[in-house]
Amino acid sequence: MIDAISQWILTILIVLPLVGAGVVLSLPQGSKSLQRNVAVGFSVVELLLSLHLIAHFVPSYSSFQFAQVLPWLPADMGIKYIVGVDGVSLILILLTTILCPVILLSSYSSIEDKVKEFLALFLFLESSMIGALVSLDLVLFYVFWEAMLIPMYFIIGVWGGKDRIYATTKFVIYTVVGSLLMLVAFSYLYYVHGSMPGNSFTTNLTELYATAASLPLDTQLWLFGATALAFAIKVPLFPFHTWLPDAHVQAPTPGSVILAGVLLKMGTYGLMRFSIPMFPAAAHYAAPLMMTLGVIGIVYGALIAWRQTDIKKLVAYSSVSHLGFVVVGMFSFTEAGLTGAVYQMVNHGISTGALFLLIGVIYERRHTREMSDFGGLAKVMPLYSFYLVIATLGSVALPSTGGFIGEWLILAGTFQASPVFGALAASGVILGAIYMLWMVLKVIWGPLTNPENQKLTDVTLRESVILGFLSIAIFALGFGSAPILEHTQATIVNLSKSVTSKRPYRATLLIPGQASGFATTESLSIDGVSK
Amino acid sequence: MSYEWMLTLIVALPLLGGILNGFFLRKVPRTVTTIVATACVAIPFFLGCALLFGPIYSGSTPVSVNLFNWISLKLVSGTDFVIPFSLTVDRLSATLVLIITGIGSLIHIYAGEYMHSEKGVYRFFTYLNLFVFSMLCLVLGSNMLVTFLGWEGVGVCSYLLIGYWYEEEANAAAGMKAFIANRVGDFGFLMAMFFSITLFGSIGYSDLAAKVGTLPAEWFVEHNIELTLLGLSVLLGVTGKSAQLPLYIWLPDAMAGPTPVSALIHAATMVTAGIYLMTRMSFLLVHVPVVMYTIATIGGLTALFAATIGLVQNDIKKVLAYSTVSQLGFMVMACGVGAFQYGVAHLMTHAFFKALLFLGAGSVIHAMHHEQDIRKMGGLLGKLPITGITFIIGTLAIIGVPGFSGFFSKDEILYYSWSGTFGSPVFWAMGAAAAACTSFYMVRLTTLVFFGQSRVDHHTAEHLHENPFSITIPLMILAVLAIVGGYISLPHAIMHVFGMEGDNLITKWLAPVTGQAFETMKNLHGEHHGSSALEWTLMGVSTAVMLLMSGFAFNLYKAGPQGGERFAKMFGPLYPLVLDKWRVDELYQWAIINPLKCVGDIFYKVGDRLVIEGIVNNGPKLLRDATAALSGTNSGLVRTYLKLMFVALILLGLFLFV
Repeated sequence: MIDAISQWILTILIVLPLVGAGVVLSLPQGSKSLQRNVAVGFSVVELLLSLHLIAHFVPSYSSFQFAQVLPWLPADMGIKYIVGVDGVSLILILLTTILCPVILLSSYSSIEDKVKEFLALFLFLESSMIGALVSLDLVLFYVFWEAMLIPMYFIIGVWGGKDRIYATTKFVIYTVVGSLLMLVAFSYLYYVHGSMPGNSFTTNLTELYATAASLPLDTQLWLFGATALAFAIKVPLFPFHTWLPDAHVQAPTPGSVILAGVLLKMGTYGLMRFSIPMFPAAAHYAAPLMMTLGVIGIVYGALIAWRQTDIKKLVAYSSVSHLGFVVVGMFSFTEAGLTGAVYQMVNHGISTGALFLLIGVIYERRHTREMSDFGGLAKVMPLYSFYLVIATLGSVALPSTGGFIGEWLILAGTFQASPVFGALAASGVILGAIYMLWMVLKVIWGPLTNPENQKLTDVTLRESVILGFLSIAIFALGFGSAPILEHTQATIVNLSKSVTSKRPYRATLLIPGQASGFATTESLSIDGVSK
Repeated sequence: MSYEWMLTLIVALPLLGGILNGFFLRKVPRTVTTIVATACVAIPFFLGCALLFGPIYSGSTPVSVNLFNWISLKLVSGTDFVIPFSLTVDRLSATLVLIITGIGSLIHIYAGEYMHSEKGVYRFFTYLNLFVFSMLCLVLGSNMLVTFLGWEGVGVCSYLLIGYWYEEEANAAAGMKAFIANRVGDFGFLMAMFFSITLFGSIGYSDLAAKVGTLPAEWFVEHNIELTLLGLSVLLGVTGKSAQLPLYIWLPDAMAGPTPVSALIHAATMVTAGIYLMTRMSFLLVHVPVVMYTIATIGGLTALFAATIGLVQNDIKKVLAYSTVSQLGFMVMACGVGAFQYGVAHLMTHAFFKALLFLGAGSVIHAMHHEQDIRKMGGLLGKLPITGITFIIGTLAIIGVPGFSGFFSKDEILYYSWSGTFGSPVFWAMGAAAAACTSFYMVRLTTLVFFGQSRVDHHTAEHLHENPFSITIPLMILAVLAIVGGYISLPHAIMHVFGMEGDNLITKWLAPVTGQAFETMKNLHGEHHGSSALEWTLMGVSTAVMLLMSGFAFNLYKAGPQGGERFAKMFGPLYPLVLDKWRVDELYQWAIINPLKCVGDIFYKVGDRLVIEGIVNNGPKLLRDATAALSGTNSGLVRTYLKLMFVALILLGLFLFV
């Protein structure tokens, strides 16, 4: 029974939100609260189901678990439906399934028009995000990757702010340009693999790893460049970040939260799943460049964030800075750096998600996001201020918050790879405190002078539940890193080993029910078998 | 109860107090809040006593407890990299635990009265408890990461407490300044950790000490650059937390916080964290003389520089703030010249007398209805006798009147700044000059506040009366400590007179911690070059200078501030410059902050908006125009786009396949 569930669980996780979207759409027009509750219900069930993964995942294996292979396109094309998760995607799936109900709850007050359509699109988005995280077939991944764009295009374009059309068009074009390059690279790989003697055409990622890594360095570099560019745009890595502030500022609160919380991580995830393990030699070669861009992003994003007057733009630029950390740590290729990168993806999702929700709270009350319109809110909104301070501490990576574990690991790993990059990246620790505390100072401290602010009401129970949950998560991640690190370590060791030795990434599919034969060989591979 | 449990409870109780007051006791009467908060600091004090006088006193082996694995990584090599969340109490940390929780308890009692008119005082006690928790983590952490948790934790609590009265934007801004200046130092701490990992593969103190102890001398020569950078990183951390040049600027502004906070955090405990860290890592620092000299120089310069500013301030708390910076300079200098134990001894005596002075100042401010300008005080000794007498005791201690605590600890520092392993007459001269300034500004302060004619306005004078016992009892206890606290660091010269042989108490007590450093210094540089004659001479000189400066200051100010103003005029433009604190804040604003802001603006307006956006928005347009020109028509959009995509794909394909 457990095996049967394990075998289908990933497919269920992809399909369930789609079913939810269908159900929500079929509900009568006027029943806003019913629609909302149903959507939240589906996302909660999705969350509960995703817990099956963590319950039955074997942390000591680096292989893709809960794997499922089904025929999809005509057999001779070699394109199948292949899904599976390893430690990294597992953690990101949980981040997604945890954030989605939270965001849907927050939309109760932020989305008032066309509620049904919004909820359906959002569930569709959840489905495609999960799909992208579990796909182990290049074409399948590409389909989900592009599918994520559709709901996001509408969420910003329909429910966004004044310049929403410009922002959403820019977002889509930017991402599509990157994805096309990725598609070209994938197609090339497909062709090369298929035309090698003894090979048949396939888009199975686990088979292509070896082929891709065996290509000569200059070819690898082109392919790495094409895929990395696609992902770098999504991250966004300097200098491909300018779509982000526009998208964030125009997006409605739930859109911003899912964008910062999960969608940006798709970029860093893509680098970790595709660009680096497929082309280890090229990744190794390009590491100094990627780290340089990451470090520039850290400093550049932070200094710009400091000079913003719009709170949302400030937090948007802070994402550029934080994701810079992730990229730097990842390209250090050290165990600490890679682990920190994964851990920081989760932290950033939680703390920046909380910040966008907090901005949403005051935006809904005052319809402005200019810092100068606020000040002294601690007097009328003490609970709000409490949550804002916690989210800020999470964002500046105070020890005891999850951000610290992530940043510390990233910096330790980067320092190990290159002390200069480590020191430069660590300067972001100072700059992060400057812009965040500046924002806090202008928003909640100081005298309450603006009469508009004097009649503000504190957070409601619903808002408090959401923000309280995220606040607890921020501290929980600060002390309880063990469960997460335990799940990612096998994957990270595997990746680090592959890229530092420039050998092909070893990946196998672990299909539930057929696991018995794998256990011995798999557990060995962690202890350094690829000799 | 086992020692491990006691150790855990010492840290856990203040955290529990913070959580109780912060979440569950918001609506209870003020007294309950105060009692809960105080108990959660006082019980750890008694537990600390039990540990100190139990296992720590009798043996030199520390007590440790490993709570959980904080970070655990599997490495490619197959080994695990584990950083446990573990606590260790040894003689150094036990001493600090008693200072933190002892003075902390007194200040909690005091604060209960001092903050009695505040609404929502639970917020204050929550922060205060969390501060004590962080401070205890700082001194009890077995490795640098746990220390760092406390290190940044005290920074955050300080941020929240300085900005406690947040409705005044200046207060909140002072809190922000403190946090950011501290963060610059924290950057140093982070770097120190990373260097330690790179060099020694560990950040646990006992691991590090063991490894450093076994490495051959050549290794230290070979890795001189890394070790120097490590040491300087530690120093950067110290300058942030212990308010040394160039990062001291936050501490004077921190006086915006309630006075009990200034006494506990910004005088007695948090700011001494740097001294703790240097003593903790002494075994490593002494291997790099360059770093030691730099530490001593920074300390000496800070002691002198801050003392000059203290000479002219008119706000009672500002005088004490600059005095704290200056005294911390003494302690840092002590560590720099290799006399770590006297850094700790002065840390302790300073904690007593400076907490006393701050609480006394608070008592005055409380009685004076929030007046802080010493020019508007005078003759308060009669009205506030207990505050006055205890304050005077504090003053006698800090200026180093023989017999009072400050005399012993400060004179030992001065003696070692000349004769210590890394000492030199230059360091002594800086210290002695700073001590001379100390005598002047402290006597000036005491005279203006408690002696002479009253300059208090009528309205305030009518209500002026001594504060209740909850304020005066902590003062009296601290006054006693400020008198007797120095006898742990008796100078050798005096010990000889009384026929005592061997090391003084503090040296013997801290030997398990500092012994390794002393051993290294002895091996590398030989025995230190002091003598009883030198000690007596230096002691005599500093006592004479102290008497001279005190007498001068008393005469100058006994009739009120006018005498001093006339004297100040003699210095011409120098006086306003010092009054403006050497305009260092303005310098930083001009040289660092504004340029950074400007860079931020340029990045945004030029980098993002002009260059990147220009390319992003105009690139496709150019390409479209180009293709349109190529095809010669402006036919339908779809066709153009298809063509564009086609061209792009062919180009890419060419790149990839060729």
